Amino acid sequence: MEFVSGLLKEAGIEPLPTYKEPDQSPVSTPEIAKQYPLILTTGARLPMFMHSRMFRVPWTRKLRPDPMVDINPKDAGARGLAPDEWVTLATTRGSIRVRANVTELVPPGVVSIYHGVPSADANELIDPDYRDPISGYPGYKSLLCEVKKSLERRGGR
Amino acid sequence: MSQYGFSFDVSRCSGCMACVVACQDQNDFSDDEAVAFRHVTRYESGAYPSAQISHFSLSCQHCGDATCLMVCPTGALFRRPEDGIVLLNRDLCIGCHSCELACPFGAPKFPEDGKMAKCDLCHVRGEHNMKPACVLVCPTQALDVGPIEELSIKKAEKASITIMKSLMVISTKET
Repeated sequence: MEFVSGLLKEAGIEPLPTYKEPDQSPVSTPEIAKQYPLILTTGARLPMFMHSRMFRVPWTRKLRPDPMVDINPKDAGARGLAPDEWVTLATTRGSIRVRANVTELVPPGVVSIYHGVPSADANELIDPDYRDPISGYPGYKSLLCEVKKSLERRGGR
Repeated sequence: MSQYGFSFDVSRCSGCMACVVACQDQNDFSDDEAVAFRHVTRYESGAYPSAQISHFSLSCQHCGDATCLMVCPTGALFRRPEDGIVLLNRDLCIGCHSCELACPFGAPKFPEDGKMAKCDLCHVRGEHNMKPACVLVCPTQALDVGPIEELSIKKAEKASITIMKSLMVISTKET
């Protein structure tokens, strides 16, 4: 088992994991956080969907027919959002329309969306060059966003 | 005669909804019909950082004093003497929705044909010594079935106390 990465050491990079504030966060980019105060994390799983695999099976789809964003009651209350209401979730790059799932599953200040829904694609929210500098993995768990009431009355599938 | 029923342990349920999907499978639900005879509700109590979440899986309870039986105007609903489960003769159902209004558990469903349909405790499976689909599939064994005298009284008490607590939290939130 390798605790200290020999490869990273060779490349002149810190060989042990260290904490680094994300490139976009209320701490590192307070200017962006003024307009987009919520931390967005994506890619959690629902029990009936495995990534996007079970998504087109009508039985499992019925358990969650529309794309939803998990949002804490405090944040939803501050924005005047009712449960199941259609909302717009916007980042600096783009926006999607989802329904508000008002829940204590997420702490205040954080919202979470599930991936694999074609009509609410998490990839549209993230800059192509917003990546981990070493692994190149996109920062799917560390975006800033804002959730607002949606002006349109219904969302598309 | 014994009275059969489900038992449910709130402390074991993880809200995976396997019981719902198993019910859809067992009863051949098609794309355009009601979701399932069983549904899972999430109850939340408290607030961050000490929030608690519990899940509650519910279907027809095959009540001993079933209100649906009392209100059915055509006698389509009946209790089977040997195991006390509440069944439906769909030929007699006129789709009046009286049972839906009377049922406190939301058990009666109405598929495309307009007639009532509900959980039959998988009685066909039972006749072949198999447990209902939802009970069989439950990965945490939160669901069980059997004569209610045999189902653990302690288990039921513990479950109902948890439910009552959750409901009290919800009602205070709403007011």
